[in-house]
Amino acid sequence: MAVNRSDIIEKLKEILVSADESNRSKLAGITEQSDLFTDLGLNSVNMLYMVIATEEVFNIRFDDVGMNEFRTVGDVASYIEGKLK
Amino acid sequence: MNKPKKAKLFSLRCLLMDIMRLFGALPGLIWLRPKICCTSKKAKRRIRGGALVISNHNGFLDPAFSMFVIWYRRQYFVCHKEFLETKAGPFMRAAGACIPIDAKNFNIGSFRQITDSLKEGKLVVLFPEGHINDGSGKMGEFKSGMVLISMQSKRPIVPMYLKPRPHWYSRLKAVIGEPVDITELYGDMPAFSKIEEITKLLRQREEFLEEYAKTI
Repeated sequence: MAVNRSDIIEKLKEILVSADESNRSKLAGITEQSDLFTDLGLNSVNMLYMVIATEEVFNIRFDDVGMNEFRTVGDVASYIEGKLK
Repeated sequence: MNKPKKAKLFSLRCLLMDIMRLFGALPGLIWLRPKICCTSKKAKRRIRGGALVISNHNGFLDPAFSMFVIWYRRQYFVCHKEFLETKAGPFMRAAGACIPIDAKNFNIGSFRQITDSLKEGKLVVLFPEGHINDGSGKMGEFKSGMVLISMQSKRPIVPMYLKPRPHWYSRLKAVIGEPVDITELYGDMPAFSKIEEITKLLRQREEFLEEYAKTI
């Protein structure tokens, strides 16, 4: 599956927007540096939700990783990129 | 979807748990004299197949009490990984009754272990307050992880309320509510706001059971 980094970020944005319509404006401005917890206001359950949705969208399986290991959107994108290689 | 799976009568993996249940039953029944109430006919039905039981958390003995309330099933408890470092930890680990989680850095592996257990038809017990309450018996806020677990495993949530026991010799009183099928009510992937809403609904169900428990 050939997906580049910007596609991954875009898909992540779509996942988050569909899960949190009320925060659309905040989520529209997502960048690689956006902090998942402070900038996007996600909690561990939201993170887990994102992981589940990401697995479905990209057809990958996350390893046994802690949610705190992802701080920014870029961290998640790098992880997905690594999995897609 | 939630096709009831018959539990094996004998399983080497569950041997220690079964021995505990077998030898603990009589002394436990004499000590606790459990009084179990159900809020409706639907709640009275025995839990078949995988289900996530949620309960208030008054003390360390709640898992044992839960075994007396839903006595006809083997139960698996979601607990903090720190619990396995206590003196009771190795014993519980050997009994295979614990699913440890890291509350500070929740990982996807623990989540999968819980959902897989439910899909296998096991009965998993979770205390959604995340810790023992302050001792007053007043329930704390619920964490919403249980909603995701139920959603992902497509198994119902069964609310249970354990009435606080004022004395060590007091009778064990518990109330079981009707199962809540989240996927049936809200679909596969509800939005964040819906997850919060479902968590509140489950908290309300527990409050109802708490009120009900005052009458027994």
